[in-house]
Amino acid sequence: MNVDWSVESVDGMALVTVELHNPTPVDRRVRVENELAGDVLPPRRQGVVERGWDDGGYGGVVAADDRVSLGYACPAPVERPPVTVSDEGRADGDDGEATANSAIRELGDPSPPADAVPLPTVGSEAAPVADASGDVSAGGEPTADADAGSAPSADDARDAVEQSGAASASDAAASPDVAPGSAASDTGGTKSAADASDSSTPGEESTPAERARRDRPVDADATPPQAVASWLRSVERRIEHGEGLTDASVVEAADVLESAGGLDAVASLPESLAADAETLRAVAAEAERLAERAEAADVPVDALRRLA
Amino acid sequence: MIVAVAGGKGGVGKSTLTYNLGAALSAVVVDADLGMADLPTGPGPDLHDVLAGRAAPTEAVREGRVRLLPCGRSLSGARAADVRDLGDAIRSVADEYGDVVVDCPAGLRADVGVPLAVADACLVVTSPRRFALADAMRTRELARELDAGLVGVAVNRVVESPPTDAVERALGAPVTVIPADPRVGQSIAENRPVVRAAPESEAAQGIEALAAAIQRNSRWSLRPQGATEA
Repeated sequence: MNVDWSVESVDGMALVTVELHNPTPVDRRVRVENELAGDVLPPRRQGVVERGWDDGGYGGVVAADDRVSLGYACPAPVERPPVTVSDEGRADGDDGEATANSAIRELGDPSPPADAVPLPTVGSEAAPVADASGDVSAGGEPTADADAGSAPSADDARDAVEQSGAASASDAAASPDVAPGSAASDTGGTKSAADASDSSTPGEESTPAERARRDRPVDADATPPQAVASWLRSVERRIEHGEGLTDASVVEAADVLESAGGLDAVASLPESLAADAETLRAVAAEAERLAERAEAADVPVDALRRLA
Repeated sequence: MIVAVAGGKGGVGKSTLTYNLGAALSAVVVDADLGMADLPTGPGPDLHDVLAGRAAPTEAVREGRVRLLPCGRSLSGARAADVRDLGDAIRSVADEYGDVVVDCPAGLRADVGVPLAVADACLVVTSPRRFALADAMRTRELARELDAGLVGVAVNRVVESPPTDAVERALGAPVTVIPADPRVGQSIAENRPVVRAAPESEAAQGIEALAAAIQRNSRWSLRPQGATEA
């Protein structure tokens, strides 16, 4: 087995490529073991790790007189060589794999896009809220307040209950860039997605602050579009966590940590808040500019009507 | 033993047939249509909860005339459901109850592929129309790729005598004709599988023939209904 490897470091991340060449006239099984001091970040398709990869490296078959190229990332300092390759002898038997994972890699995750998921509205939030036990569809009394609100796809009261239950249980459905427990969290979402999903495990009870915030009446005259509103809500939530930890006593900080989902969840908070501030300023400036243009634009409808 | 009921095209009667087949085989019916479920649900955890890690698969199985693992209806539930867990969920229901019939959604995405990948056998449902047959052939190809042996083809809702031979040649599996019968369509809503409500009807006999074909062609465990309740 001829092995050729290269390793380079980009921003603290080692990028390793390995090329295996099998010059023999038989298929050979090979094992590539990572030697760097970090976890293997293997290639993925549709959020599913490619076939043959595991925590320690790659195992597979190189066909007779054929080449296989591999690449992975590893958050560790560069060492040389980055891998050890062991030839495990002649490959016999079928290496075929008809697993659920291969089906997902080939066919794609069927989840509806995040933007298609209806957001909980003020009306549907008045519906009974299921508890963290996960039994969100239990207790769906038809007295649910589905008609009062405008839950976009609530066909009946039960749907409304289920949606508001699921949404308030995790608050994640309210954010279009968050997919609790779905493949999207593996496919390298944005920073805000990662942060939000950290602090929103499914089944988590909503905090009093969140409930108070949701109960606040919405100014119907100037409601931003849903996608913007949900983004603002997720930003607001991070800011609330940040504020709760600013000059906080031990007890206050413990409360915030509990509601945020632990120390890990807030570890990246300063970074995300800085990014949030920058984005908010940029959005504000752009919004201001567009508002001015919108006001300045003057469509002469009457004149046009006369011409037409 | 796991049988996936697929067909590519929507609206050919997969869910209704699966429900009635579940009754004929005394199997658990899993509604794997994560986005647009058809089979009835009710209070209690469903497949969305299972795939979001909020309930165990066996907790979500409902007892009834037909044992059923229903699926939630909400988009947020479908979004939160992790299809990567679907295979394990189906397998653990099969481990507990023995036999499982999976109602696959239309299309050829992973929510069809995963049941096919874990299934021991596959049944393709089509309608006697040309466009449905083309989708049935695509599903057959996918099933072949994922090692789910095709045990039969159901030509569903037949009014006039269909080109059985042509379908058999095209799909390479024995064809069973299920005549159009309103009692089949009503069976889910009325919770009365047609094989029990009208066992003498041609539709019921077609479904029994499909069940027999599945049992002949597979390692179907001939467990009497109710044995798992002991």
